[in-house]
Amino acid sequence: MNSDISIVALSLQIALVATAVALPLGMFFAWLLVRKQFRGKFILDVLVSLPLALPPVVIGYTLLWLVGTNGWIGRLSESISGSTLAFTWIAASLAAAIVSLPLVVRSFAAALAGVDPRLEIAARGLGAGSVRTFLTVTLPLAYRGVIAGVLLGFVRALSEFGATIVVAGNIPGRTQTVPTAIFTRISAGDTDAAWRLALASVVLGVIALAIHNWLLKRTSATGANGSARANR
Amino acid sequence: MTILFVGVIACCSGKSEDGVPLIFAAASLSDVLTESADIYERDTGKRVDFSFGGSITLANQVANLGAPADGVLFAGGEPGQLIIKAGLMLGGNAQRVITNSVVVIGGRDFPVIRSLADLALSNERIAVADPQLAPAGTYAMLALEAAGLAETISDQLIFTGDVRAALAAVESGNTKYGIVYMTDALTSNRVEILFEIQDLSVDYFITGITEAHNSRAAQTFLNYVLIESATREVFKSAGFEVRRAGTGPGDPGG
Repeated sequence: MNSDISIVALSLQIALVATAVALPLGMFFAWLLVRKQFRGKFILDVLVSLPLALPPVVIGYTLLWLVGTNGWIGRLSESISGSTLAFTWIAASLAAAIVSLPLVVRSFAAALAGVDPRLEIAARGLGAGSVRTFLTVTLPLAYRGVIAGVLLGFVRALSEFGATIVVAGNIPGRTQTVPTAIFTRISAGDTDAAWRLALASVVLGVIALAIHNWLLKRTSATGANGSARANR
Repeated sequence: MTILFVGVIACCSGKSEDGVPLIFAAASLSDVLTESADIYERDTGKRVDFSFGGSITLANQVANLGAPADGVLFAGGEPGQLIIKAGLMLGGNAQRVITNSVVVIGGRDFPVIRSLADLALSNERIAVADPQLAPAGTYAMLALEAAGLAETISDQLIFTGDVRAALAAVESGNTKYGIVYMTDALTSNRVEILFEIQDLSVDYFITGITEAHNSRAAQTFLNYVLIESATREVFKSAGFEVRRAGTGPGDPGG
């Protein structure tokens, strides 16, 4: 049987890559939605929230058509490496990234909304470019949203099942994650093995939440939100 | 972002070419194939990866969804047809080398029954593989239809994703009865074989997949399993009927 350690390791790999993709993308979309006005903004808002409203299997199936033999991503992959992305860990990461995106966007948007835009305007007025303003003024004031977004996105990516199983299958050693492995073990009647992995899931969740709390506590009071007093 | 993405694809999807063949196989073959792969690895030093499940589910993944299988072993004709229609069958197909039969099993505290009619009369839940996903279910339904019982018994049927999940349902006591392969029933001491469905034998469709990254390695493994006495013995002791491998998968007829 596929060892528990290797299943957990693969799940972590997939979730980390998914979060690495969802984080910058999510922050960018959040910034657009909070700071910018443009035509079609409503559509962006809907698109970015859609994965929350769709059954994950639908997300998986749609992604499957994109990364399989009929989709442009699949054909691109085939021209580079000879095979499509369907049934690979990369497809699993993409699926996980899509389902975590709304969580990253919402967390960061909430934090961003609490940053006084006049501080950003002041920075720009003093000569800072938009990227520098974002990195040195906005981000430090909205860091709580980044932390929440990363952790929420990560644990969501780690627990994705429906989209993963449709677009990446459940191939032991290649695309079998903790949730899909638990499902296989339940189906096969391997109750002990299923509980072991379920316990691993709990441990991973607890660790993620502990890190989340630790990161938030590491606030220096002076780094607090610029438009309101930081209070505990 | 696009450059990063393309870079990740380029570096990491090539992993499938590390020479280890990926074999998609019926759930009913999981034990015997895993054991055969151990024997193969001890003998040749080469590894094999598996994905087990309902044969129709897997065949659909390979034929229509682009799953990267290098070789397959599926129960019955329907999954085989999917592979053939997709033009993916490499060389020949090892026909009628491995055969299975279908049995009705009982779990805990079950009233003994001797026929499908008894099964229908018992009004108890019966675990069966989903006929849309696994041939074990398709054949079970065929047998029920032949006995004219498909309508009356339909409320009692609990469909599972593959035949091993049906076995597990009976073992756990969640259903009193089940219809599975003989070989699945033999793996468990928590179920009892009540009777065999007559005149129903299920042949496994065994072949390499064309245009797969490791189809040669897959064929080597499949030929090994069907020809070597050690692995044939593994199948025989599990309850499969094993005939002479006249044509191995990929052999031009030798």
